[in-house]
Amino acid sequence: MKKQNNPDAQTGKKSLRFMERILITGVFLWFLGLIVVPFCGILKQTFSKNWHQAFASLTSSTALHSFGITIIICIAVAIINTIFGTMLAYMLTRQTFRGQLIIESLLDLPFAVSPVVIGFMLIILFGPNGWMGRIFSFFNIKIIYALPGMIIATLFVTLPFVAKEIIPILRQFGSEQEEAAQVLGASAWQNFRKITLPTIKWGLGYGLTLTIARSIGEFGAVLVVSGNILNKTQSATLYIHDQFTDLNYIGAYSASIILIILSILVINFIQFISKQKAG
Amino acid sequence: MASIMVENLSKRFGNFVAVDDVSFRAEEGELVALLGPSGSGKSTILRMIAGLEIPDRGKTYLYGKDVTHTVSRKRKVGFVFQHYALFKHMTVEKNIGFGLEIMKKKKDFIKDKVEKLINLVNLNGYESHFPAQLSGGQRQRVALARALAPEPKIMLLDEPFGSLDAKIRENLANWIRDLHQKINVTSVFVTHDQNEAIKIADKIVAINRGKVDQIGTAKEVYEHPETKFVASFIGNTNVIVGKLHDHKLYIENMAGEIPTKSLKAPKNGSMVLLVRPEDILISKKKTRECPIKGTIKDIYYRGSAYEINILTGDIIINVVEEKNRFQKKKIANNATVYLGFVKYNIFNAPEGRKIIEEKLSQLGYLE
Repeated sequence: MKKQNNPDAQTGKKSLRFMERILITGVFLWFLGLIVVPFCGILKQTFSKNWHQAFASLTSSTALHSFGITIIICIAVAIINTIFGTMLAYMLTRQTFRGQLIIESLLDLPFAVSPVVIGFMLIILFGPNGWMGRIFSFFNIKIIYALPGMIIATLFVTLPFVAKEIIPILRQFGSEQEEAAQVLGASAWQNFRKITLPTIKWGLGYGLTLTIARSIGEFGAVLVVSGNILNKTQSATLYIHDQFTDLNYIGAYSASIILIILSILVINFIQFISKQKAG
Repeated sequence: MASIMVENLSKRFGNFVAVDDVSFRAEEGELVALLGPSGSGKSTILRMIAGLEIPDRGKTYLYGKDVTHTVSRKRKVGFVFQHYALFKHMTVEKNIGFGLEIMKKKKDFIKDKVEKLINLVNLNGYESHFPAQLSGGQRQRVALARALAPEPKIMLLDEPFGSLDAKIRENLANWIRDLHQKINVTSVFVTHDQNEAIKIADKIVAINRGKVDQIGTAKEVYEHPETKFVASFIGNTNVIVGKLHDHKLYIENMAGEIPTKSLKAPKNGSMVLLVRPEDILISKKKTRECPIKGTIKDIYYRGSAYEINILTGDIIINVVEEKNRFQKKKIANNATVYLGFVKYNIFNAPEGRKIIEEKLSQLGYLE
């Protein structure tokens, strides 16, 4: 019996290894074709001939302003999402209330709905005739076709990232350590700061990375809400789009590269720190 | 004034009644065991005393003060969780000092106190270890030290030895008993292990399906069992009722008599005999050592030994004999054999208290 079994097992293993190799090669090619080749293409397009021109278009006031807008949006969204995303995750895991499940399933909505549609939703709500828009215009605050609207649109699109990262961590972490701190006299805030936060900080960091990366790249929702006004409400992605439609390819490519590099830096920064910490 | 008093505590989780009208009290300095099978609601009671669970009905008093609606962080109790709930991202030192840090004690004071506690729980050299680097017993002791650090008057322990292996459990149980005597606290601990409850508790509150079955000292619970669970303490011991007459023990409905010379000043009358299965001799012939006639009913192979059930009169006696010795005798089912008791404990009902205690301590239920 044993002698019969062994060769079977070995051929099983061999065919598994073969399949593994095919799969790995496939994934590698897929990655190469989808991400690496286009990126290299864009690099070549921009810098092979006209890097002077690229530099000039990047340092134009319109380009710089658009990057400034993107950075402001990123910072605002990062701060707001850290606070509300964490609160949302905490509420969904630590409290029981009616409608919890509905909220949790709605959390996926920003992933599912097209950003352009989200932009229109915001215009309906915050526009001059929208009921929120009327309230704000009473206080002379402009939301649509202004920076606040762009921030709100980006917030909406990036809402799930932080919460979605933290919820499973909090679920797995359980509430025992929090209860232990509570019995030892810790207030809710002390408990959060000393027990919960150290536990979720890497999840939070990762969620934040995704949030920032998405904020840098967001186009559709921001386009609808901002009105794309030069030197006013033009973010970096909108600038790239404009350059592209104006057939100024050098400008579009060079700005794109900056955005890509920014995103890569942001994503790797957190991973680098978490690996350092773990190692 | 009782340190802890709970009155008519009740708690439901959905449709499940976890705790049903539970009342008991713990006097100052007492070590009280909440004893019951898992799912009996004993942990929920403990959590309600700590303020981690809010009762649907009933009241909790700590040192005479109604704390039913006081948040747990203001109750000043020490709580040891079943799975320790150590702060994973903190060192042993930080874990133990957490409560003091929250109380905003001075750094020197905390350092001093933590050092003393580390000595107390024998964790010298582990100060800067993280919980993940410790064994179960060590984690347990960190959890204890952490709970003790703010010097609570009341300690609550949820299955404190639940996830440790048998040997460590026993040591730790004794250690907790000693510690309890050393520092003046009132403690309530939850356990499903009768041995543990008997061994270290001053008072046992037996919980079954969310209700109190019986409250009493370990001895009371043994001698006057109001419920069946006491029977399980006696465990694997043969309990035989007999009559003593002229230094001879006649066992009811049992063929044979036992000389009882070894008994000091025995009185005539009704007697109870406790015999462990391994203290019984089996012989194929009637001898002076083996005077009691019986019939083999069942023979079970138990690895290094055989377990044999023998019918004598109308009672079944459980015997354990070493494998080789039993095999040599070549005894089969339904064979007639003679039994003798090598060692036994005998007592009459009124004087039984002392002997039962001794018996129980022999069996390892009492220290």
